[in-house]
This record gives sequence, C-alpha cells and structure tokens, in this order.
Amino acid sequence: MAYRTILAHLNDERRMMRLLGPTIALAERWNAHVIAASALPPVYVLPAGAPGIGDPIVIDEHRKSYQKEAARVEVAVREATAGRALVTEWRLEDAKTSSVAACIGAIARCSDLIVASQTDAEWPGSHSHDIAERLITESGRPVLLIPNAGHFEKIGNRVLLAWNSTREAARATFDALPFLKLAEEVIVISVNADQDPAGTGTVATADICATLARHSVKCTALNRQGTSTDAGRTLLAVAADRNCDLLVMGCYGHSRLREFVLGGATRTVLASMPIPVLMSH
Amino acid sequence: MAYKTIVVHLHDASRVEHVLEPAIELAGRFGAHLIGLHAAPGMVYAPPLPGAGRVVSRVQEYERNLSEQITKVFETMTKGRSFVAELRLLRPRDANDLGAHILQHSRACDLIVASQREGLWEMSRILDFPERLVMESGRPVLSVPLAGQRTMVGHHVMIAWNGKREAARATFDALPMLQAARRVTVLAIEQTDADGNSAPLPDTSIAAALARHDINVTIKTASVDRASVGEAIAKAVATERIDLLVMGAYGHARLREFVLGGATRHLMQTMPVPILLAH
Repeated sequence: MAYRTILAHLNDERRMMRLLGPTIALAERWNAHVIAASALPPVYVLPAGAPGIGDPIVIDEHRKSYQKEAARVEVAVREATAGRALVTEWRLEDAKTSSVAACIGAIARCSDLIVASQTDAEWPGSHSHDIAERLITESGRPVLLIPNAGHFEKIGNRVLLAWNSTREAARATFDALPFLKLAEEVIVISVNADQDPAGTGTVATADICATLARHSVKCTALNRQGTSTDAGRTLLAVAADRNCDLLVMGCYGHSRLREFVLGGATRTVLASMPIPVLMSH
Repeated sequence: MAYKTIVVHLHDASRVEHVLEPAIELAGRFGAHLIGLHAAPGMVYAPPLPGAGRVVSRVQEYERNLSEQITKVFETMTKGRSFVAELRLLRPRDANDLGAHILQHSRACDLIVASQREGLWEMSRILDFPERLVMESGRPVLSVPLAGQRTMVGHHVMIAWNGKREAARATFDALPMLQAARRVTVLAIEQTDADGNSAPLPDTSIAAALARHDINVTIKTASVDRASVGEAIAKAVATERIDLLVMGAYGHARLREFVLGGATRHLMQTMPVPILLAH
C-alpha cells in the first residue's frame, strides 16, 4: 500500500519550504507523483448600495500580489525538485468567484495524500488560504499537517496512533497504512474522544493491533484510563514522552448548517501540534 | 494493497450462505482473516403480564436456534480453507446499544461484507443496517444483493464518479478490487438542473491517480438531471455488463445518526450486482 499521488498545498511563501522538504522526502519514499498547488484568492466585490459606496467595487489587488508570490513559489518548486527522480506538477488554480478550498479540494479528492500547513491565525492570508481543516473534512483523503515551527525531514519512524473504536479513528488508521507499515514502531493509544457515540466507554486496542499486524505493522498497545478532560493534551504529552515523530488521529466534529464545528481534542491538537499530524474525517 | 481483515455480517439464518459466499471468495483471494459477526438482541426485560415468562423463554430459544444454525453453516463453509475464519457471537446486555455494539466490532477491519436490507431480520428495520454500517463504520461496505448474482467476481468494475468527497472515499477504498479487475470503467456523471444548465463535468484526474496504482480505466460520461442519476447508473451497469459497482454513499448527519439520501438508499436496495460503498 503506497501513496502514489501526493498533493502539497503551498499557500504561503514563508512556509513553503517547510512543506516542500517533507513532501519531496515522502514522494521519494513511495515513488509518488507530486502535485504542488496553489490558488489565487477569489475576487472581492463590495455590493452597490452599501453606505458610502455607489457602484459595486471589485477588489483584486490581493490577487495581483498573490500572483507574483505564486511565480516565486513555482521557481522554488522547480529548484527543489530539479535533478530528482520525481515527476512534479505545478498547478496554479484561480478561485475567481469561488474559494481556494473549492479549487484545491477538487485536486485533493483525486490524490492519495495531502500535505498542508497548520493554520496560522496571525497571517493576513489565513482566512482564505489556510484551508487544512476544510481539506480534512471535504476531501475524503488524509491530510498530513506540518507545524508552523520546526523542520521535519523524517516523518513516521515512531508513530502514535490514537484509537478509540470510532468511525473517525478507523478512517485515520487505515488512511495511514503506508506510514504505519514503514514505521519502526507504532504505539496504539486509546483515549476517550469528546464524542463517544456508543456511550459504552469501551475501547479495544486488541482488535486494531491484530488487524494492523496482518499488514505487517509493528504495533504495541497503550491504554490511558480516565483522562477525558482533554484527550488532545494527553495525546500530545504521550507523543512527546515516547519520542514520536508523527501523530495519527481522526478529525472529530459535527456539521452545523454550513459549517463544520470541530471537537475539543481535535482543536487542541490543531492549535498546539509540535509534530506532524495525519488526520482524516 | 490487500484486504487482510474482513468482517461479514451474519444475522438471518436463511441467507447466511448467500452473504458468506462472496466473503469467502474475497478472503481466499486476499489471504484475509475472516470474522463472522452475529448479534442477538437478548431480551432482558419481561413485561409484567401473565405468560411473559413463557414469551421470554421462547424468544431466547428462537435466538439460540438461530445462533446454532448460523454457527453450523459458518463452520461448514469455512472448513478446510486457506485462511483463518473466526465467528463472533455478540450478546450485548440490552437492545439499546445493539447497533453501537455491532458497529464497534466493525471498525477494526479492512472491509465489511453485508447483505442488502434483510427482509426477514426484524432488527434490520430498527437498526437500519446495512445503511448504518455504510454511514457510521468508517470502513468500505460490500453490499451483497438479495437476488441475482451470488458469487463475488469483480471482473468488470464500474466507479460512479461525480467528483465529490464520498466518491473519492469509495474509489480509494476499492483499490484492491480495482487492481484485481480485468476492466474498470469510470462513469463520470454530469448533473443538469431543472433549467437544463449543467454543472461542469466532474474532474476526471481520478483516472491519472488510478493509473499510478497500475489501474487503467476507460471513462464513460452520462449527463442526467438530478432525479435520474440512480437510473443512469443502473442502466450503465447493465449495458457495460458490470459485476461490481463502486460508489459513494450520500446522506447527512441528523442528531447523532446519519440519514441516507434517497438515491443511495434506492440503489442499495435494488441493484442486482454487489456494490462497494463508502461514506
């Protein structure tokens, strides 16, 4: 089982090398086709009749400056992949009147794995370009999130896999198989999730360890009882404690009208992840 | 890529063979561990009426017979095979958590095999299996038709593709089947609305993605209005002589459950060939 098409969403020039390095390393690991993609933000239109404004005003200055940035990103991609035995495709999409998430999402749905940055709330471009959460919930594919601090060349030597018998944990686990099979060790940890639909509180790591063993995954089970105040904190603490370089977990939440509201543990991890995290929904 | 752990749902004694046959074929093909799952509700509450005790013991006897029958058929059909087969009889304490209990045992596996809505299993209507399996297990579900084709062949596979998340899920979940197929067709569905305007044809880069997994596909397109999508799929399955359909299951979350959309439900109940579904 391998990832043969890897999409890297290079949304921010300042963070792109942090994404590109791991993407290239992973592509070489699985001999994958790389799609390095970015999207021009949509046009903003201020409608007519708003106080102080007459005719509709179309704003696209931000698109012009992003276009210049995208050109530099493309050059960086070509330089980083030159001379490597990899096929790399550069794609600059144009959100026009839709959204960056819609454009990149369409490519994501035809990829095995997506590599994206952790959200940077302080970045002015964040609200249109930091789309990691939407990619997780809307692509149906696993997303490898790279933290905004630190450099990560080797990802997946020691993996912490969060398992609590939920649908989301199942999705993340099996989506992560290519990583799990190559890991030196996979620690399977059961922590109570925010939402426990069964209400039974029972978590069985034995079953998932047996299933993973049939895929030749070297796994050991770890059970953490009781601490459900913030499962996210527990996971990050265990990952640090055990020197893990990748956390695999489900992305929890529920749909609310047109939004997706994330669960507490998921939000904690997304906000404070010190190591890469692979999430699926 | 292979399915190494397969869970097959066995609830209706009269049709155990029907759903076991394809499961056994797949387990042999992929060298998988096969887990047969059978759940009996088990009545623990006897209403305070005269004769209630007798009713309870008759129900318990019925369930015991059912379980024995299923066990016997399972053991006979899996004896002497090249793979390990295991039967799990689930007896949750009360029927309230039966569905959740079954689901918990259906998540640590590569593939679930279940029958189309089972007419004779009275719990099917209440628990809404296999639809609920599709929407809440997080695993791909192979829905075996009630009538028609019995063996799991998967020589000619068709993917119902509309570019959406669920179709992507189902396609990548189906990789082992696609790799084993002789012919794979992607049916790209373009939906037109009431005014005859069509949404753009879905992105078919999925063909390139599959080619990188050594799966070569032919693309066939269908342009239909929303109400006729199911019909278009059924027609293409017949025309192309498809023996396995791969498709996303659509629905929405309602309170804590998932409700299946009408088109998905209809196809699941009427398709004469197996369907691999994912959500």
